[in-house]
Amino acid sequence: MTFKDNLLEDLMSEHGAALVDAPEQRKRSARPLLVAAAVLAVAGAATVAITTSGNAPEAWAVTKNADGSVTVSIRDIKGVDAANAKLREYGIHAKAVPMSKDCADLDESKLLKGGYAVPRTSEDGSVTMSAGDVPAGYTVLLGVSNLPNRATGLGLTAPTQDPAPNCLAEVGS
Amino acid sequence: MTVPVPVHPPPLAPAARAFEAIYQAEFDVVMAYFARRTAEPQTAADLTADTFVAAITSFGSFDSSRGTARAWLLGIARRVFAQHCEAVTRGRDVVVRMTGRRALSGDEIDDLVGRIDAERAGRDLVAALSTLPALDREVVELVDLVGMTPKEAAAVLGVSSGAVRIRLFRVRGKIRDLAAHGGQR
Repeated sequence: MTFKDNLLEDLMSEHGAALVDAPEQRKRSARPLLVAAAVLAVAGAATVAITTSGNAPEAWAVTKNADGSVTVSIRDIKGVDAANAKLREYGIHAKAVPMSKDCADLDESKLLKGGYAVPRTSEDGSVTMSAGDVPAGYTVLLGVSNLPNRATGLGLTAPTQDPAPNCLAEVGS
Repeated sequence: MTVPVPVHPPPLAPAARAFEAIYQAEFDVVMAYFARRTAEPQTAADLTADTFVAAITSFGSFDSSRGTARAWLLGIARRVFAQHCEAVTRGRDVVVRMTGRRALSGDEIDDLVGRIDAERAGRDLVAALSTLPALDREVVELVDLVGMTPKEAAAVLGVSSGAVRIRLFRVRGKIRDLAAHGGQR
């Protein structure tokens, strides 16, 4: 790696937390989240599972869309278990797991190389999948990172053979 | 079919993405700024690192509606270099500050030496203009070497763009005189 690459990595790992408090982040308020929830509620066709805690943003949301697909977003590791329960209920072959530097690397020999639909990601960091996207016996891992400079978006993997691991190695710094 | 292998990482937070984009776009400019001031790789590396540490820790104060990222970063670089010069003048050895930095690897030194070599002409020009007032030198450097507009250079130097234009006109005249007299004036 060059000095430029190394310095960026050092900056992000040592000072990345400072970026969380930048104005672009501070401008976020509960209002857009409430509006988003209201829109989903009005949509009617959607089944929404949202948790809230006072003015804090929801830890997770699993939404069934009108076309049968399911959109998942997880903003806090605390929401992993509840989100996974909802994903199982909807028959989605995906499992949310915390990302950690201590977690072992994925066994690439167990990853599915084809024959599945790649999950759709969106700008807000959510992931959308349908029940038949991934064949039985395989699970897409949805990584929830706690790194301070990460957004609320999910990392994702190719489908891995069951039983799916309970964590995912952190990527980047 | 696209296969996300093995892990597609979560996206960076918006502020982190914005900082990284600025870093990628402006690193070379900041590095070159210091490479025109020192031929010592470790010093150039430290000053560049100091500049980006100051930038990332004050990123919340950067307002793109008030000036370009390049002007903002070079403003920081200018302050960092001034502090460095003051520290050297006062005899505070550079070694003291280097204790907080990891040593450069061989590959990094090679990379930096290449960058410093590439700025040899710019460094020679800055040295050749050493008889001029510091602000005049910087005006020429920012506009004629870095490629900034007078308005951007003014933001870096903390003067009006009119003042930059006047100095630029005057300094370019002096440079022509120097060239005509073989740098003997």
